[in-house]
Amino acid sequence: MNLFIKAMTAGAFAASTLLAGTVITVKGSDTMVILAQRWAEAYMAAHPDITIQVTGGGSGTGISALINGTADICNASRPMKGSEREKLKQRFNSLGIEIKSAKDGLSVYLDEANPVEELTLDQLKGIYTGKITNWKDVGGKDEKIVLYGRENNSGTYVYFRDFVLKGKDFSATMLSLPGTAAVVNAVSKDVNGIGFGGAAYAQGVKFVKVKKDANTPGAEPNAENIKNGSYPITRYLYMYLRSKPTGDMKKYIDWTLSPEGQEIVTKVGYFPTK
Amino acid sequence: MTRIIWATLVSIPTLIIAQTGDTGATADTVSRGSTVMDGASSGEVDSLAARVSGLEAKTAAVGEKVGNMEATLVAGEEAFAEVKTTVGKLAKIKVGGYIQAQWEYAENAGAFTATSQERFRMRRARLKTTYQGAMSKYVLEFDALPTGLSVKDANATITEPWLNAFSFEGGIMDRPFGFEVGYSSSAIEVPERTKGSNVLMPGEKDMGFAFIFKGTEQMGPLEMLDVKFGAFTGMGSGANENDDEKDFIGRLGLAVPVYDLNLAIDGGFSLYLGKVTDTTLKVSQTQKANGNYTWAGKSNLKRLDTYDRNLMGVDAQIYYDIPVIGGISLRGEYWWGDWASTAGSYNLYTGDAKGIYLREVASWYLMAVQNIGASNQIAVRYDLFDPNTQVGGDDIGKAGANLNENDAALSTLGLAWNYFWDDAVRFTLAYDINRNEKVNAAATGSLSKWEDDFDNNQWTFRMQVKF
Repeated sequence: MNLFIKAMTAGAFAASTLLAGTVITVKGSDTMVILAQRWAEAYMAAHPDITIQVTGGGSGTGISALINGTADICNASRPMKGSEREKLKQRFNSLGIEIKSAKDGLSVYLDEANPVEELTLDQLKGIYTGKITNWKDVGGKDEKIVLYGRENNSGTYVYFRDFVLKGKDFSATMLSLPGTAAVVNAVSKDVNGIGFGGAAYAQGVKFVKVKKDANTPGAEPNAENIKNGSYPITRYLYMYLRSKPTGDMKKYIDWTLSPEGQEIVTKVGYFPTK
Repeated sequence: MTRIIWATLVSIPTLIIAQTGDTGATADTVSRGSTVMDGASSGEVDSLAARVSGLEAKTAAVGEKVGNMEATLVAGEEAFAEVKTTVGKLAKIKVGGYIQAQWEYAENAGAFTATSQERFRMRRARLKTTYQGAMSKYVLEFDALPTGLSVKDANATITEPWLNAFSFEGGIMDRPFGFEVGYSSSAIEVPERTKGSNVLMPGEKDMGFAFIFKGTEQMGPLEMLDVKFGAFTGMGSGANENDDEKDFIGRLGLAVPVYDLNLAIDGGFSLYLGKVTDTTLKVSQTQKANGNYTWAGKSNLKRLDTYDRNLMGVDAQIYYDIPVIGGISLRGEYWWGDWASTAGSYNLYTGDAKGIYLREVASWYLMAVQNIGASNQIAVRYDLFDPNTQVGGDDIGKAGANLNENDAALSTLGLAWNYFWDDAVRFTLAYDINRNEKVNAAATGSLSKWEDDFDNNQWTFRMQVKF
């Protein structure tokens, strides 16, 4: 009987889907969730027959959803790992399609009252691996550094660990928060706090100028610095698909990469791919 | 966090005072000092003093409550830290498993028992526990079937911390030979592995120790390399070692992804160098005498003599995404070599008293798997296993030859449709067209039915739930 009910439900859902038009399910990076929502809203306004459902959860969650077939598009703020490609290959005989949809300066936030203005990549590594624990060691007050970061299913977490920490583990004292907005919120209320995340979220906090090393000038994550390469922590924001897009999916993807779609990228606070 | 909440809590008395009309008057009155006091009666002053005193008491009470709340909060934070530590440890433990329940229908009467050609069957019921530490891994997997409980995996792995590329594994694990052996039973697109795989690598597992190299993303082109080799008992996972001989088994694999084309070309070369020890003084091999191939006993045998069990294998897989339809993979594998089997059969020799048959064997398959959208998949596979490559079908059953049906090649054309209901549930409908090498027309007895291809095709309907 359950099978019968499920079959009927599936049939009804399929019928309603056909009647309602195409439904595209987007899942993944919390960093990209605002961008994806803005894209979806704008696209659906112009294409009422298309429904785009956007949810976050983290890049890892989105990639899992792509592999198990519950998402059509995965948003990821880091590249897919080889092991994830292998899983996709085993289930769908496909390595997946990678689309670079925006650029981000992975920003480091401080409370506006924190006197520290610049940090080198090595200092950031020291702070987040727990080797540097006091602000006075990096030019600040004699106060304990409070670390805020993301959970390990986050692409931002993985990218920061791989790029800034060179693969080392985060300090056990880091408070893992479920989303960049939560990180920004925590830092904005903690003068000794430090956090990291997408540039688009920075409200009520200030950016740290990041230096490649002690001899290079610090740079903020703005469009010019990201474009000319002087801001050292830049990354692409990706969309992943199981197969080469066709039909409505292709039209939507093409639109996100069009000047109109890339204008939304800028409005949200990220940077166009070109 | 504590600081934020504390700041909020200590502001509560101020807010209470500010929002109380009487209190406002009192504060105003007191702050203005003697100017107001001069115009007030002593009764009013006493009343105001009493109210101030009351408010001070309330403030003290609120302060005490805030203190208690802060203590509670600190205790909560400590408890949270403990919970977080515990959850962190638990997150390293993963439990998974799957059940494959199926219905089988064979086209030949008496296929399963003397009186049955269709049956319900619990094919696999697995429960797997994995602990993944920073540099170590523990895996224990059971298969719980009506026929009994068996261990499928029981292995420990340690990985060096510098490159995270070299590992050492010990216990019961997949034999590192070929592609199909290590392919998960929950993922195979047709109901069973090939005949050759089931005969030459029965149960897929063996007990031993192995070295592993798996290139990482930081290693550039070496990421494409995958090497595993080790020493094993050669007995499979269900039997204990019966001699001092160890079997070397290894595979060198290469995976070349071409992301721009959504194309992957993978492949590998495998080697199995093993020996079996004879305790029976009954060892036979295929010989040609008087124009006939026969199984003939070897002479001058010595107890504890060893015999080769050497195999080689090559495998290749190509994956490509076909626009609109979905991904396709084409796979092939070829194994060949010397095989020491139990006397009278082609099965793995594990010390059976009947003696040893020394064979030259070969096994190969070609397979195509096509995904159609997100939920459907079709698979086609042709496989052939030749348990005695020295002889052809016409040599078997010939007058004067003592070969038997276990020397005839077997092939299967398998067709399967998989429907993925959701991320956990898969239905499989498969049809296996089984063929046998035709033996000599002079064959007699039970071998006579092998003179032609006999009807033993089979339908399988399987439901799999995996978590």
